[in-house]
Amino acid sequence: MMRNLFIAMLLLGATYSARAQDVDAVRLFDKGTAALMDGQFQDALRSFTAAEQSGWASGALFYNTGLAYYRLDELGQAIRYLEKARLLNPEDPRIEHSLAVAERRQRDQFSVLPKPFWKKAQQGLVRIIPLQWAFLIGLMCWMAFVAGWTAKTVRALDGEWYRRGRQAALIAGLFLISHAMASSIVPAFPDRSVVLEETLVLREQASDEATAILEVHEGLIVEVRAEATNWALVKIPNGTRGWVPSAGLGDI
Amino acid sequence: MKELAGRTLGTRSVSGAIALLLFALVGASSVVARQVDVHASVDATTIGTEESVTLTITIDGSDGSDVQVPQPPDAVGLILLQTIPRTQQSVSIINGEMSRSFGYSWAYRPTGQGTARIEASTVRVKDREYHTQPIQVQVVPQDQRPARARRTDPFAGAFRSPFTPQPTEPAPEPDESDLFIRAVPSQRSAWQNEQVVIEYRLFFREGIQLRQSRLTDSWDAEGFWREELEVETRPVPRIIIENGLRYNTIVLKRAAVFPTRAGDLSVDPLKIESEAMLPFGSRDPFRSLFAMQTRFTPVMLASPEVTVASRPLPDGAPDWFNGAVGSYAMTVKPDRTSLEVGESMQISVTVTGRGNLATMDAPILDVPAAFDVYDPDVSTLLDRSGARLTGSKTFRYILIPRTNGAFEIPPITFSWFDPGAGVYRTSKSNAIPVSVNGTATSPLSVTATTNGMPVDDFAPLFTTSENWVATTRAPLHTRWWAWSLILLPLVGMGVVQVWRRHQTRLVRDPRWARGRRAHPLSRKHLKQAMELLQSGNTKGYFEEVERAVLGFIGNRLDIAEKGLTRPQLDELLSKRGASESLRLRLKSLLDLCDRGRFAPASFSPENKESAFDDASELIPDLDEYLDS
Repeated sequence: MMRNLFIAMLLLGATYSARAQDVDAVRLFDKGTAALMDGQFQDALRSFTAAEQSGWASGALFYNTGLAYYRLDELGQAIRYLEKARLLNPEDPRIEHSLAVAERRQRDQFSVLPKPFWKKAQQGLVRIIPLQWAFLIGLMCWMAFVAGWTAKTVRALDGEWYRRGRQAALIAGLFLISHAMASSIVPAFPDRSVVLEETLVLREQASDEATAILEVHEGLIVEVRAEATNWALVKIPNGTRGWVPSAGLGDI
Repeated sequence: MKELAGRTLGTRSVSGAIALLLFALVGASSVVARQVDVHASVDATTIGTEESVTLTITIDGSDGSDVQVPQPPDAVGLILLQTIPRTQQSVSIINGEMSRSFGYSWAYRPTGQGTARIEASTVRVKDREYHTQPIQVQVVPQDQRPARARRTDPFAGAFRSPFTPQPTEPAPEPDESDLFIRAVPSQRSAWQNEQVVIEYRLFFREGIQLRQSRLTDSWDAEGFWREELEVETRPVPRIIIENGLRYNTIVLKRAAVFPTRAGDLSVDPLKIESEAMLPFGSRDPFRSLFAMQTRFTPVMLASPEVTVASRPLPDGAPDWFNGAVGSYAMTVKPDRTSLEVGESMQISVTVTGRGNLATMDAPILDVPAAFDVYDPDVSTLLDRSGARLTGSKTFRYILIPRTNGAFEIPPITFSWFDPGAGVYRTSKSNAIPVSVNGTATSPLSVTATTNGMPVDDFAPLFTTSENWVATTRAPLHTRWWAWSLILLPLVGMGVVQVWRRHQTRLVRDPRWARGRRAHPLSRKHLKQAMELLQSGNTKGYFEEVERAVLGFIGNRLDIAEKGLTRPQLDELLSKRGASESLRLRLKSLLDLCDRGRFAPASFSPENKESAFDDASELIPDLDEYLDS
């Protein structure tokens, strides 16, 4: 029984981590990259967009897309795709560097509202162990605990080290699975969008007639708190909230 | 040393120029060459009762040959001391051009205190008549006259013995009306950063000589950006009649100042030190000649302070406004529009006009991100020769494309505030299309960061891509299999726990274990019975059927079924409440089995199988009955 359980876990892990590479997506990526190297930015964007629409994406695809937009002087779209690339490749120095370059051209310089400690911890954990890996490792720990308990129950396999092993597997498994599920329900990085218009006016209500709060500019990253018809309630880094037209935002 | 007017001040540059100017003026009592101009002046507008006043009618641009000798003007409160005028003529050659002037002078003596008046006079030059203006003279008691050169009756000496010792005559000192500096701002109120020109003019009476002139200290204008304007290094004095007095005037300094903040801002006075000699100390030419060395008096001249009210610029400035105030025009010129990757192009933005060019910031150049842009090279060309500061400022931007493609440099916009109209104005250039050829597989930045990344540009693109992920992936918590994988081990644990309890009861509770085994054993016996029947072993068949039934009853009632007689079995079942019909069915089945074992040949195949069917139906009925 133990043997069967471990085989099942290995198969599960292999299935989860397997990343099928869609042939069309790879071909479109190569085509777009070649166009980007030739300075044909619009052609490059067409290929990259088609690759994304095929249902597959990668950090490289998003990065090159952001680079093409940057060359076309569309700062908002450039920052949007670089942020997407960073979500997939959080530690890549090229993405970090280019994102810093793009953000230096952003006109708005707001102070940043401090995050609660648990949010920082959650984001730090997600950066260290991505959500899917946390779930996979947690599941393996959980099954290891179940296997140990079964061995103890069926075969009376017990002892100090067996007990400690079971406890460690139980604690690690429950923690990682809870973290993965909690982060899936309440994402560590909330829904964010980038201002794509040159200027957007934050208003107190979802109406063009509502009182203007302030003006933000292309490339600013905002958190989307709620959505209504054609309008979105956003929060800017300093905590100010306001409604903006949804068409002026691009989700990350 | 006597301070004539104002306060301290000074500037850096003009001291040498002033020295030149003023020394050039020594003895500059002559007039300038120009059209015929006639004007009247007096040597003093305030005199004592014992003094005299001299009226001079000067005809500039004439040597006197074409002038009819004018009649002395009538006067009120003054008595003409001579009817024949004294004449004077001067000729000067400046820059090769000769100018002449001719003058007639009369002396008047007051009849008493009060306001005296010299009426206008008419002078005929060639065929044209010129009219002078009336002049008023204040006559005050002799001891209240202004402290200045004592004016004596020019004819008093005629009745004095030449052997009479002459009283010592103090050196005459100039007063504020003889020598002063006037500051003339172009306006008293201005917008912030608007150009205001302040002109400093030296006024001095005819005949005054100056020497060793210099600035006392630096001239300052706190709160202003200032630019010096040019003045003539060898100025030709202009003659101006001021309050009936004839003055020569020259421009000492001209400065354009730009208020850098709002509020009342002051410009310090322009102050110079000099030594002056008045020509009217003594009327004795011999005494004047020998007293020349001692009659220069140190004087300090200072202009009044100038205050300018600076107003803040109005609201509504365009986004591109960067502080330029004045009147401007902008031109934008690229040196090329087609180039290779890595080559440079230059865009020159030239702003021409009148205003605060020196403090003007560079227009914002918003170029595509594919270009490196360096800080502009700025050159300013200022024209200081006019009445106002004008010029041009050129910003040369160097652009280097990092990648190929067709780009467009967006229009360059320049905004400024027009102080005359009080509105903001904007000039916008055309967009500049740029074609960049060649291939760049990596950034062509000239510098890189410590980790090899280009400065202020994106890192190189990715040429390959791995780790593809599905973009349509649903959140983890919405997937059924995720929850199944979490809960499945729990279900397994439950099953294991139930199984373990079952096994434990089987060991610890034999009665329960036997009951649990009743059905499986009876099914086993019935299966064997059927096999025996099919093999033709009738006797064995009926034995197995009987064993199946009796074994089931023994296991269910936890008794030893072997050795029980039929009446004992019937009684036991009766005690357990079995119905009579059930007991009769059991009895008939057992009897049938007995007959089958001892007389198997008497049974047809159908009868044999009916025993099996009866047993199969009886066992569940007994099980149900015994459970209840």
